[in-house]
Amino acid sequence: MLGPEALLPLERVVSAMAAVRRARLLDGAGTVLVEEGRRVEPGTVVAAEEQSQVHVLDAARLLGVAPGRVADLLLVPVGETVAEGQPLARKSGLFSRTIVSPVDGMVTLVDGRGRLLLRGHTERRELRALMHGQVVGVVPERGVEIEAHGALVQGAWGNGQESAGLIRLMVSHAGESVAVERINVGMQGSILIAGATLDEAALANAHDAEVRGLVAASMEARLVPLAQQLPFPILLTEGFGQYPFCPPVFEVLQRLNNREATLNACFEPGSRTRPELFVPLQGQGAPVASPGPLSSGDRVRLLAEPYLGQIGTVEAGESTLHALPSGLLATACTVRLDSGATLSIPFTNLERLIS
Amino acid sequence: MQTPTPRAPTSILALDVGHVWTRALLIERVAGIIRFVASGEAPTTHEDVVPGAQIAVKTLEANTGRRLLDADGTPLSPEQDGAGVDLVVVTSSAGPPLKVAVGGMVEQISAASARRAALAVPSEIADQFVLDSPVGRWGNAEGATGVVERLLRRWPDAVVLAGGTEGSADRALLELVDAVRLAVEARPEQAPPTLIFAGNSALHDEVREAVGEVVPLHLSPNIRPTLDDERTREVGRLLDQQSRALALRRVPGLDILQQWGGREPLSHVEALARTVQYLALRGDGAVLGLDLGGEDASLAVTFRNRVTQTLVRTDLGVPSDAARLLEMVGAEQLIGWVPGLTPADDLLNHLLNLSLWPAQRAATPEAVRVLHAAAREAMRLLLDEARAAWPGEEAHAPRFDTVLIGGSVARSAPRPEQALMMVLDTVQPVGITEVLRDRAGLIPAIGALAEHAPQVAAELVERQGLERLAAVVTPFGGAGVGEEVLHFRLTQGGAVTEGAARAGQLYRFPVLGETRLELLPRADFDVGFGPGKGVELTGTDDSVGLVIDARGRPLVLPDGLEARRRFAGEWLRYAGA
Repeated sequence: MLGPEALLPLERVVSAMAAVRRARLLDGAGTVLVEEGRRVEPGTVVAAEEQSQVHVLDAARLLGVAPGRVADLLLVPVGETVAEGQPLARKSGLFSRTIVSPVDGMVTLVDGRGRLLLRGHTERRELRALMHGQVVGVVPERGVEIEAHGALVQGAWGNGQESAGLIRLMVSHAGESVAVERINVGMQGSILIAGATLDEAALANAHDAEVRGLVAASMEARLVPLAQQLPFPILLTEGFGQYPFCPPVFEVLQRLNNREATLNACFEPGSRTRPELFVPLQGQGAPVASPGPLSSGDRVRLLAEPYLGQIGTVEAGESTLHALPSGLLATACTVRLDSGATLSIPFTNLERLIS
Repeated sequence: MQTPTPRAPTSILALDVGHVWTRALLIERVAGIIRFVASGEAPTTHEDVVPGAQIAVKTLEANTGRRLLDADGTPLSPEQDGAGVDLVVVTSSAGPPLKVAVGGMVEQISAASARRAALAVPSEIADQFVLDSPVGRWGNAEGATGVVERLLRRWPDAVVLAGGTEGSADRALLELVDAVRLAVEARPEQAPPTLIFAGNSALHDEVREAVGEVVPLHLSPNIRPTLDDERTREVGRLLDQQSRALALRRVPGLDILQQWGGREPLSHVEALARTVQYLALRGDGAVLGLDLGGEDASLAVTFRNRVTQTLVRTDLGVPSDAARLLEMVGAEQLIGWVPGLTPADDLLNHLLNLSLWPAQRAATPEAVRVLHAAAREAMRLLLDEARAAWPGEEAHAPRFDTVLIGGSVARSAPRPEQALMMVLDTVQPVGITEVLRDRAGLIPAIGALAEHAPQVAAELVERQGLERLAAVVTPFGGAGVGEEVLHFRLTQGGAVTEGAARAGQLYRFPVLGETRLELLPRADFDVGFGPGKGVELTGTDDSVGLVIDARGRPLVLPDGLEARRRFAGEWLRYAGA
């Protein structure tokens, strides 16, 4: 029987068919544009927020009058709309002066220092569904929850971008990396399963080819600053260094060639949400849910060097205090690797695979 | 649920919710002495912090065999029949940083003070407005009107304004006060930021009048009353209140933990400040507390027996912020602290893989070394930010009587020498310094107990809680590498060893039984009592021992990555790591 350390394992979904629910929410308050039950596609706008530009005019100074006089000199009252170039306020007399509106908008207020506040044109930010699915919940003013059925591969790192596109499988086995010359204009608009490792040339070619995204097992850490500047999502399934795709991941990926996919490479280190690739498929998947405490028979992927990316199964037995080669002590369970070895692995250094 | 206890508590459950870990500690009076008994931990559950806290306590139950939770998962209190505890205290650093905009008259003076004041709590500088900016008044071509537009775009939780020495006649800061009011008036639908005015107190009445009832206002004593004096502590306290209130609103489950503890959870940095204050009360000197957590780095400093500064950098957590840290300092600067021949690219891969799953245990020696290298750079950046406000010579050659290091990286350093060297390489104290490590993760508990049960907090600091790593002597003066800087005489178990300490070297004397170290510096070198004046140290229970750090101040690092890594290895070897 494993101890309480097993109650809350890290988890990663790698599933050929699952029911997935994802929230698509605006940062601030806005308008939800779809109703519950509606089927959506990646390009469907599900919500939008509008934010008006605010312009402040120092009217007292521009007119050359005391702040208290500005309200009396307004040509457009507070609360009224105004067009760009339209006179807003005027001081008549020998040295007459006029303020014209710099924008289309509305006069919002005049403060005690004689400043005029205009709300200008409205910027609209649209939030797209980014996946095929059905709206199963609406969060008023914020967005929706979408349910979809299909393949889900969660990864280890992402560069913070998201997009949708057609998957192109560029490699034939888990340890192969794509030949960079194959990343060319013919790949425009595609999400490439680019193989084991990405290098500078692959990133540069992908940028030139205007791909919609890259999925690879690994990449050298020194390339992170470059990867973070690229406008398309990059997902690493294993981590930094040079690793092949772990077998369960490649097994799912190789079935997805020429499918429409959503690639969401946003994540926060330390949080339990992971960057992910989702491919909608015909059929009905089981809802993704944690099976509870880690227990014997669970399939796990190891997270720490020197076993990063290796797959194994939790053995029956009790938690033990284990001394790591680094000198640290940690509570561990026994894992039998698919390669045959049996190891003590700290609970913190593994994640359960959910299929 | 917490019920008041009339007597001093004899058993305490201290819960600490961090960004990465939630820890539960059992502290108990055994045979009349307060002791740290055991701990349990679990990854923090950000979607609801309660399950993570319950699992941490269950782990503690498993480690102690003592029932601490009732059937509903609530801590049992008060203690009855060996189950539960007399007191539950809760601390937390979970939650988003406070978004703070700062404004000041002069970039390097009041604006810098306002920025440091904002960083007294976990915060993110949303914007900065400086009167003398080269871009234009308040950093805009449009002056104060541009400030309004920027405030509307970035909408901070708080605005801190500083400027004008005490009694000066400059009224320019009122333009920013007006700008804050106008921004709030322009967006009545949003919760207004709190304005903290910490400038010239002669303007208080005008500030109050300018904001009226529109903007929530706190008037603080001037944080820069004279050009040479910075007092950010009061602003820090005000922001700490804001930050805690924000966390209660935004961290799901924290309100439940508040009920368990019966009070608002104390912030980590405030707990660190209180612990440092206790340490300062033992003597009459300067104490530095450093806490390097998974998602932020913080410090608290006392000079002349009073906490004068707290500082938090939410972008310097190790390992979570490893990628950002690399961008700030560069790979060569960081890898220069890693001894050995492992290629730099491999070390960077190790470090960033640690950052992907920050709760993992560094499994290999290489992973530990690169983690400690990142910790040094994070601490260096934190100290650089802080020392600009330290008085006089302390900014360049700080004489700390005590340095305390805590947080997950130091706590889990496999060898005490590794933790000691992180301190010596970054703080670079001079004179005689006692270096302590919070090995059990007691700082949050000590801080919280300072309020609930001050006697217990004091006892933890004095007796059981903190590991004394070393007493370090750092001679200060000018000498070429290899020159003799002081003469030492070591008496240990009746045997006497004499020798010379040479510039550029570090010497460690393990404490084996009764150990006495007499030191006589060269006439132009100072160990804290004046040039050429000697001192005698007695070893107690130092886990590293007595240390002479004659590497020089400031520490000069050799040119070239290879040489730096070789020196880093030699220094660790001298220290016994």
